[in-house]
Amino acid sequence: MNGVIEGGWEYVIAVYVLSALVYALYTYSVLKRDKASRPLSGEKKS
Amino acid sequence: MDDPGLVLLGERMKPRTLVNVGGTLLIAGSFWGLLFAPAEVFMGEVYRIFYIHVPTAWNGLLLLTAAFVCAVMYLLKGDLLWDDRLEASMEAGVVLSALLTIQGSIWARPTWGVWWNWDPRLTTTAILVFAFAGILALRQSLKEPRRRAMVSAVATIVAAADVPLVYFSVRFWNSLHQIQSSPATVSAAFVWPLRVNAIAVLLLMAGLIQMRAETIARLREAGSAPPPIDVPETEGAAR
Repeated sequence: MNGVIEGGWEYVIAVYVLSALVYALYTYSVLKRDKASRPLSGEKKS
Repeated sequence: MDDPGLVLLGERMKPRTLVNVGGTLLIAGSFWGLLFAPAEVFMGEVYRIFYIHVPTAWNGLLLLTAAFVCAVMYLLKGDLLWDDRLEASMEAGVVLSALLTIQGSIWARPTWGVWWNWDPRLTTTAILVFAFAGILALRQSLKEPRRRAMVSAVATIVAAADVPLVYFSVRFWNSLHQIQSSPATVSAAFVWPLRVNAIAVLLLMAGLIQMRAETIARLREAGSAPPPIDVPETEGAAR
């Protein structure tokens, strides 16, 4: 052991894939709820 | 005069523009950090997790601080719009705080040798996630808007005491987690992708919480609107 971490790309990829999923799903969820609520105020769905 | 709270929540720009610009920047900054930034001397490639973990952490704490500001503003002004903004900020803050905990856990495995450690930074962050998620759950059980806003505001102010504890935990106690870096201690080649992603997440979240606050306001107004009046047949009146 020399205190230097070798490799580790699998952890990096896991974090980025998970983060992309969370950011994308949360964005989709906000947009979907926004669209669904528009008729309540008489706005047209866009 | 412009309300500083509106500026805080990014309400001076169209939310979809903020979401589009933030999302595009986040993809660009992530590819920069993954493919073009140099490897770190001790952590090798694993440090690249920081390019998404640190912006998520900064913005998660910022959003929960925004929820605290909204709670104070509701108590001062009594306007339910501040409660709408509180819920929007808190929801996004909980999503980011939960995500940063999992990101940190994955980073800890190759660097600390464990997935989880009851270190002060990790423990205070876990408390943060559960406290604010609990407030969101509590809101679901309160149907009367004024009561819900008052209970949420008080609970948010109490829970927000954990936000500075999370930030300063690495300085207050002996912690496995490293203390905050600064541009003076990090080379420019490492700093720029981090800055791009931090701004990207900020813009993305500013757009999303504005949209979410508007949605919550619409639902609240629809829920509190008086029921439609039954108009009796006007047959007799026509004669």
